[in-house]
Amino acid sequence: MRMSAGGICTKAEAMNGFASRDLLADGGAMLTMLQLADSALPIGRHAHALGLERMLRDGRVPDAERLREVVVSALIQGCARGDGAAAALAHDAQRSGTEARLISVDERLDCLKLTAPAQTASRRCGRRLAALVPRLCDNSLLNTYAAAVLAERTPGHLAVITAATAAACGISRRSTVLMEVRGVATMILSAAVRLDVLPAAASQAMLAGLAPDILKASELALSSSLEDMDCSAVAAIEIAAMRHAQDHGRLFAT
Amino acid sequence: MAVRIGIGGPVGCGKTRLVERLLPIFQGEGVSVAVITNDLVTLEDSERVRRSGLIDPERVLGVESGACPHTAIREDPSVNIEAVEYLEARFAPDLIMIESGGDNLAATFSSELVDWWAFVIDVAAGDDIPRKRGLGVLRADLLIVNKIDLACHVDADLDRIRADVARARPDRPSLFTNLRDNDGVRGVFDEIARGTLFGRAA
Repeated sequence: MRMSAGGICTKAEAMNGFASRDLLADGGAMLTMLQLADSALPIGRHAHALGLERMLRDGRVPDAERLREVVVSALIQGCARGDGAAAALAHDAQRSGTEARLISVDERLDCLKLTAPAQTASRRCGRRLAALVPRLCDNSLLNTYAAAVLAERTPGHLAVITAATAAACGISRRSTVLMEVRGVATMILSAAVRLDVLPAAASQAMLAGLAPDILKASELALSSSLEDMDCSAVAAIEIAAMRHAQDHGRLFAT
Repeated sequence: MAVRIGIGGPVGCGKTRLVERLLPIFQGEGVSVAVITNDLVTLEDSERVRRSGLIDPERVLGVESGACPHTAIREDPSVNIEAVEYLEARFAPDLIMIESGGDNLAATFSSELVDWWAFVIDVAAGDDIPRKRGLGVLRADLLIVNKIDLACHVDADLDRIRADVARARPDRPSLFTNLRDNDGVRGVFDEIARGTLFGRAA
């Protein structure tokens, strides 16, 4: 046990010591998770707003509270049984060592992304991550799967390749799903800042306040089977994204 | 795999005009070309090139970056790489021109996206731009100072610009052009041929 300067280890110091050891024990996985969740990961996330740009133009996001409602809907009614569940199941598949299981999750998710914008955002980012995977992680199954994505033998949705990478790098199933679900919130909030819906500091405060919703969506995702997976029930977002695709002037791809 | 060249620079400097001027030259040299435009908010640039009659419209892709243009050509060029791969798979062009959306003086292209790139500025935007030594001016494989015909109308000191450019880029090429009147575009093509080594020197 680490000792304080006076030779007595306080409770707080002990807790800090345990926390430090835990972080060190999972250090490699932690670093990978931070990298996968980092906005600097070059997979094109910045090009997507999940319909927010169109909703803003339609006057459907007049204030921060409405924006928060959009994010919560996207998490609970959209992501939880979709990308979130796919992440959980892809993590299982990667750990089981079976490429066919990874592909079945990918194909199931593909069937549930009903609109072209939803397909585009997920597949494009997933493909870029697949191209990056060999530089991030040395795992034969993961590299085989990434090659299948690049060869278009499987759709290559972002949630699936992210979770497979996370599992291969030792990130836990729960952390993987949490990262995936949080990623949906940060993607919308990041777009909201660029669309001037709210300032950057306010978006971070909102993200912190969304923790219960992120956790709730993650629990739903973690408890979902392949059959439980479902398409997005957030019609307003899906319709906005489809209308956005028809716009002449637009900042975001979706 | 196609040779990839980037064309960057501030809004209104003449990037799209440069693309339009280069297309006939490439065609004359037997170079198969495709074009990617990074439009900031609209599809104006891509539609302008498509309508130009200078290239098969299907070989022109407009990319929405969802961010400041420099993000999509430098920090995270994924959306442009995706567009490049699409055009390569569909048309197998010899060369792809990637026009960045109008951006600030610090914009640069990632070497993961392009093999060579030019930065365009225009004298009407201020004759002090080279002195500001933005990364675009300093780092580009070729600096193009465009609209030299306007210098006398906006009180821009062309001699001073030339001297500042020479100081800012002592070992890199720079060209002064009036792209509206096709003045200097052949020199740009020669620099591309030399810089990308694609074996079609003028």
